[in-house]
Amino acid sequence: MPAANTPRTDVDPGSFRDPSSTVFYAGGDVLRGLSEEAAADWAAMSKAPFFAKAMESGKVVRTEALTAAEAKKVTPKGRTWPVVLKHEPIPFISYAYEWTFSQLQDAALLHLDLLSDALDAGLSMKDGYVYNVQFHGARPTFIDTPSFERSAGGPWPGYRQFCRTFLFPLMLTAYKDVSFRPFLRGQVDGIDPKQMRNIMSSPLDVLKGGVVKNVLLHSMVEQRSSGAKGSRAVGEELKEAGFSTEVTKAAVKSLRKLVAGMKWDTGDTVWKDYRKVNSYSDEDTATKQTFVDSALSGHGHGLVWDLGANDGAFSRIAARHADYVVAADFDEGAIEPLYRQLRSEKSTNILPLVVDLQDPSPGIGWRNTERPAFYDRKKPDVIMMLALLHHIAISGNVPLPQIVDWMASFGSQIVVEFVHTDDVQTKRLLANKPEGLFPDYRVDVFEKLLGEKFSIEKQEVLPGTTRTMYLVTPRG
Amino acid sequence: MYVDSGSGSMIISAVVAGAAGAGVVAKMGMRRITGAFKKDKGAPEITAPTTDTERQ
Repeated sequence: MPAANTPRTDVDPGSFRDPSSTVFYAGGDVLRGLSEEAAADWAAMSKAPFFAKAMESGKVVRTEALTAAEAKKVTPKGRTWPVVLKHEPIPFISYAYEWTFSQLQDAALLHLDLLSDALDAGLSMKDGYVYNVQFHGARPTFIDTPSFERSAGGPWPGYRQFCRTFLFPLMLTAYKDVSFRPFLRGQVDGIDPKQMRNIMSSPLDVLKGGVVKNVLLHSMVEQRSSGAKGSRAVGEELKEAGFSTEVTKAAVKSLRKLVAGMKWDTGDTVWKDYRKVNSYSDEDTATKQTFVDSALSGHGHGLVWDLGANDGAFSRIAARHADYVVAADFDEGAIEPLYRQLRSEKSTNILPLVVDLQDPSPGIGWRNTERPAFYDRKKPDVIMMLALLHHIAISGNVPLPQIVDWMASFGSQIVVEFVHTDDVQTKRLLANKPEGLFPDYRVDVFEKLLGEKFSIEKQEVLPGTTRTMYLVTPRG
Repeated sequence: MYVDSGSGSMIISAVVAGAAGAGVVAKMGMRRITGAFKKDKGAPEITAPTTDTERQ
């Protein structure tokens, strides 16, 4: 389910895998048309007390059924749906390949807890997909309401998908200290059991929790036992062999214990202690904070992006003046502690994400539109780029004119900090490159380029004289 | 969404259930599981992949 400002009256490009339910947009609302079958599932689950409670607490996206008259008004021509649901919009859509370890772990636990509640209520879930969960700030929210279905008994059909998109990625990071993000970004269906078995190839890997059953046996059985019968027939066979809801409950309990017990430490990463060891004087920091605060104040912004958010100190300032802030940084070592902190505060208006601006998330899945690129989701009203451009320009070798073009491509107001060549941080970055490689990385060149695309509303040199702050508005 | 639950995966979910799933595994799962280990000892080897069939 994409963000609220995805083009109106359109069917969501990611909503085709489940033919019984179609997400679409009309009049600013996020809507979902249900088939007869899905409507009967909805009728069953909307009566279950756990479901109402989960919506109340935000664990499931708040959802209501439109009246027949309301549904008729919004239903596109040529479509007939017995029930149309209206979902509360998610302020900014994110995907698991932008989440930290704890975010994915919390999303997995939410999925399992809801499945457990559903089983207790005589219902079940038809899948176990990581894309069923979104984040509303630091709170995971289950969005795919048609995942819930009336239980037919027997095994949980989503186990395999849960392994591929939740369990294996978590194992990869907890057991091997390898990021799951490139895998999930590269494969919309996640890591398959054979791939995972080959990754867990060290003899000691079998000693790690859940590996023998969920990875080794899983991969062996999958390779050898499939094909003769369809999985539906095997499901029936398993039911006859005594695979009851109680067995599924025990499997879910065991998975929950396994996932909850996984741990991962960020270790020493580039920016972990940035705020403690950076080159700013207290005076510079105070001036910068005041500049950002005053640049954002008084406008009541909707969405703000803080690119290069680091520990989120400036995202918090932005959150005073905006409905929602996306705090993005390439370093999980900074974003993971930020997420844990925001989670403990029960924050719902700052979304921490791991995004590398030199390689941001592309569109993935069917036609590359099923899961849209980071830049193609929701336009921010304001973007903050604080202590960011010197990294893109010097570490990333992106020429200043291209950087300013990129800044202008959003059509948003920007609060930007330019770090001069004589700043200690810039000197440090330049020391890694051949001398004289960046003759144009200069504040006067930057200001000239900026002036061509933006009008400069405010600017201020920080007291240390090596950094300049700007508030700019796109021309035209 | 509707997914291919994978016949092998469903059997493993009984293994994951531990004691509660032991009866199921005993009744039908072990034949397949042991088949996986005894490649050349009479267990039919069927290798049609179930991966990448989830999209429906």
